[in-house]
Amino acid sequence: MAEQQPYLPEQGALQQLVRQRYRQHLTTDQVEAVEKGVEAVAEMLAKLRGVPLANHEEPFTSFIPYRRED
Amino acid sequence: MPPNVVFTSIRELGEGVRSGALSPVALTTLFLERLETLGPHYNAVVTVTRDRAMAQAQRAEAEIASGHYRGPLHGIPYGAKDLLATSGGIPTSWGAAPFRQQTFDHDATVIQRLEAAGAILVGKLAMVELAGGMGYFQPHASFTGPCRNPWNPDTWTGGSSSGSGAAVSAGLVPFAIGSETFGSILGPANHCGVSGLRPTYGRVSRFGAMALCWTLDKLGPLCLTADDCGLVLEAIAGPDPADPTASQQSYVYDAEPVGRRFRLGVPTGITDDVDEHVRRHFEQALDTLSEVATIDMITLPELPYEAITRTILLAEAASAFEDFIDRGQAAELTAPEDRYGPYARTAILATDYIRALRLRGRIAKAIDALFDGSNGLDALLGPSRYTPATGIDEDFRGALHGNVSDVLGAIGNGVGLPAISVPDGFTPQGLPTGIQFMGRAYAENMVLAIARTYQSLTDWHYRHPPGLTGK
Repeated sequence: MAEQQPYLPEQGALQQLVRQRYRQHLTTDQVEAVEKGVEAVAEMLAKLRGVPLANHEEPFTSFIPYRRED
Repeated sequence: MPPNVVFTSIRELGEGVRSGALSPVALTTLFLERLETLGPHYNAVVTVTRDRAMAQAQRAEAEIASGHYRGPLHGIPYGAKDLLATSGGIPTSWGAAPFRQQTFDHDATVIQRLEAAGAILVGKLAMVELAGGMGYFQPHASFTGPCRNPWNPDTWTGGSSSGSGAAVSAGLVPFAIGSETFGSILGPANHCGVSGLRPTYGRVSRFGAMALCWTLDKLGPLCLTADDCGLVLEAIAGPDPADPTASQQSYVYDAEPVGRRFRLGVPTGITDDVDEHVRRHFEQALDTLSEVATIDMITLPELPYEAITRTILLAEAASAFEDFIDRGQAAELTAPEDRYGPYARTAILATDYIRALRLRGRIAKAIDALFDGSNGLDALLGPSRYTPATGIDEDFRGALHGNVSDVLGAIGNGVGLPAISVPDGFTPQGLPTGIQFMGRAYAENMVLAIARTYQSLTDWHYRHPPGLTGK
């Protein structure tokens, strides 16, 4: 069976990043599962990146500068 | 006590309490006993709050006797999902072994508001560890054990508000508070055959609730009826200076009929991949609703809804538990997959997270347009879940049940829209299925009106798990 092509060009780098950061907490089997998890994340992010955005499309959050109410 | 009091609606119980026919102390004693004797059968309970409950019940009884009646929840027992902070040494475990002894010195705003309404906290209810945010895919994901469905204990309640669903379904509490980030109220409501309301984001203060995803977390009621959900929502909703994301809009429950035919929309393909019983019940529900509604098939704009909502969820969950994950404490969680699940999401880059937030704006405007205007829809409809309750030892997604997309869940949770799940039938095996009505932002009264009308035309919500009635 043909190996799944990376969903993102940096997928391998992301897997390495997660491995390096968390290797001490994971068993060998868990490392493999986490790498599959990064693959799933990459697949998800590829879908997001497939939708072009215009400059005026802002993040849909609202920030209100904090001031303690008297 | 009237017969079948454990499956009596809040509205009816409240009338009994107000008139003096029902004693808050007697009700509380009854539900405490059921939580203690029946709760363990379902792994539905973390802590029975007996002392606090009896004190609240005695106070309620004295107040009502002196003419001080607080409203329909006065003297009514309830359970709270164990991610809601409760003071007085009552643990708030978040369903997770590392936090099983955790306590807070304050009550969550929801708990405070229910106390002000005179409701009586009888128990902290089981939940999936850390509200399911570590990636679980099977029911054995809580230190209290897999939550068993009162309809068939060899099946799962759904999660992550698993104990809340089970407790209401089994008549252990008249209502419960749950939470939903992505599916955690509607799922248990579906599987347990009860009514579960996910309010508009920000309608209910999240102060004192464990945060999984600040952008998506919502608190809401699970009850026997849609009408009861409205009564509870009024008590818990409203502005809160302790939660800057809480809406400044107040909420008043309006139980009056809308007085016209509803306008409902069904997204094309919404039942393509669902269980055959789920599909049949949904179609039957549409037939029923056609008596009171115009129902149109609608085509949703093409957008990667699930990817958008899940990116936000996973990135924020990674942050909410970053220190916990960095310390390697995920290894102490119950579900094997939760012990490694949270690590992969740290691969989400900031630009991707922000991209998801930007695309969220597109969803919000596109979906709101469906509701807007004089010919706008009153609600979007779909099955609440794509299957009835799954086996207690089965994966509920992945190899066994597939990864069916949940478009309405992704949309509704992604942009904070209210939705209610109510039962719409039973499988030949006796498991409930549900239909969801999702409305415009802040249109809980419309969503509740549709659900109430549906429940006036059906009797699914009057059915209860066998063998659980009694005094």
